[in-house]
Amino acid sequence: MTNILELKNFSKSYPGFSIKDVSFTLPKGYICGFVGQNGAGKTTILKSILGFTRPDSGTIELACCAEEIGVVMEAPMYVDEWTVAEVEMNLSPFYPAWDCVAFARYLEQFALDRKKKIKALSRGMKMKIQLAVALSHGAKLLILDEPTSGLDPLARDEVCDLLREFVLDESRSVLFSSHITSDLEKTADYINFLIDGTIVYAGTKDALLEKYVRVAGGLGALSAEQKRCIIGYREHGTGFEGMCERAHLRILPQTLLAEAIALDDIFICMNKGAKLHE
Amino acid sequence: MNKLRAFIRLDFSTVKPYLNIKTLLILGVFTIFVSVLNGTVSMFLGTGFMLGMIFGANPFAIGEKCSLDALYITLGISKRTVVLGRYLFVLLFDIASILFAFVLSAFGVFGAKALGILQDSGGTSVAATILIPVVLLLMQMFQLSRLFKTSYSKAKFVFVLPILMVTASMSFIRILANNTATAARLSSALPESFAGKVLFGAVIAAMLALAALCSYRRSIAIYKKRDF
Repeated sequence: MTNILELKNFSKSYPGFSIKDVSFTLPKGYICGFVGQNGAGKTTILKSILGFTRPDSGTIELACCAEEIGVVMEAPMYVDEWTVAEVEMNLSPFYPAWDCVAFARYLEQFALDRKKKIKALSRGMKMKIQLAVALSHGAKLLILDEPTSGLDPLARDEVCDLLREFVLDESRSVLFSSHITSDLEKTADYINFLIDGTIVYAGTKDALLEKYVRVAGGLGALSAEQKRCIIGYREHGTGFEGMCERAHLRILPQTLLAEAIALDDIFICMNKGAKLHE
Repeated sequence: MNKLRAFIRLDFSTVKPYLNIKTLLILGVFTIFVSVLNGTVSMFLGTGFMLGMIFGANPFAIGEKCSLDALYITLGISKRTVVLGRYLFVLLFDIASILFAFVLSAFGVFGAKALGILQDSGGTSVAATILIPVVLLLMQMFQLSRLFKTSYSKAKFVFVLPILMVTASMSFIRILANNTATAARLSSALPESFAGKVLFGAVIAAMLALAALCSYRRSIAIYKKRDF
């Protein structure tokens, strides 16, 4: 399998919320970003891939075993009273490819004190200790849930660099969820867009950015039919703005301002419009 | 096998930060307090064991707080290994608790004799050294599968049960201690011959083993279906 991960028709229901028919693949050597609002189902899908929860239907195929997956969750799964050194002491016996030199290097890079207890670490530091573990046991796949949240811009940039370095040898992959679309824009090759438990886009980031354009114009510039092409249509004092598929530009007035759109704006427009696009 | 050993060690590392001199002192003082309150030396054993047993179930409480069940999955530990490892950890902890309770008991007997404040009848000793640990072990087997079924916070009530049971037993023992006829009857219930005692022990051990086996099988079946 050239894909390290394949999800086919994944569904999972909870009272009042369900994830419907999610399918996507993650090829080896690439970074895939999961983006969606709070409660869209990102963490549930990540947890199912990790085996924490079982899908109601569908299949999850992984081309690596549990010990070959590096995991970073929003809260670390370590005993609060453990010190950073104890984390290594307690977890390393379970990883056949544990690299203590790499771990020491990451601790130094992240300025993590070995004697410090987990409960005494800040949110950002908790992310970093998890990252240090995830990057020190020869993982083939990294699964990260909001890895850059709680980090300052410099640390976020550092993490993004680490993720890019991680996939350099083209046999390893990263799947991560984030609200910080600028991080996804910097690092992700693939984007999975999730709204209310449904994937509205799964494909390359470049194709997504190519597919949509930001449009703006004066009030009354659009007919009712043309308005339907606009995703996340919003009126303000002097005009309107939104986004549309590039292919729809030909049916819109030439006088409209059409420009490249940022991932952040796609995220906002898609959620506002709640319009499903393949 | 290596993973099982590593898991038991991991369980120990989970409770180790909480197992310090301060905690042992609190447990010891509480045991002495309960024993003196009940006026029986033998209660050292039952109370010490009970406290050890409750403390030995700490991996469930810490596990829930720190999402350790999810961690085990990321470490590639099978659910079967988690259940078996936890049962073995609890067994080891029980043995350690019994040894701890025996040490306390020895000190208790010495102190009681010196001060002349505590007394035991044969019946009280039988109840405290056999009845209470057996009842507690049976309860523990029930507790374990309950803890594997739900989270610690949801299964908390099964932790209160042993305490209630022992408290009730203590009152029962106090009545026995004051009633020499009942005490004599309870003592005479034990077989006198060596072979009889061995048979009695074997029956109790078989009963506990059966309870442990049923509990273990149920825990595996339940834990396999759990989401984290």
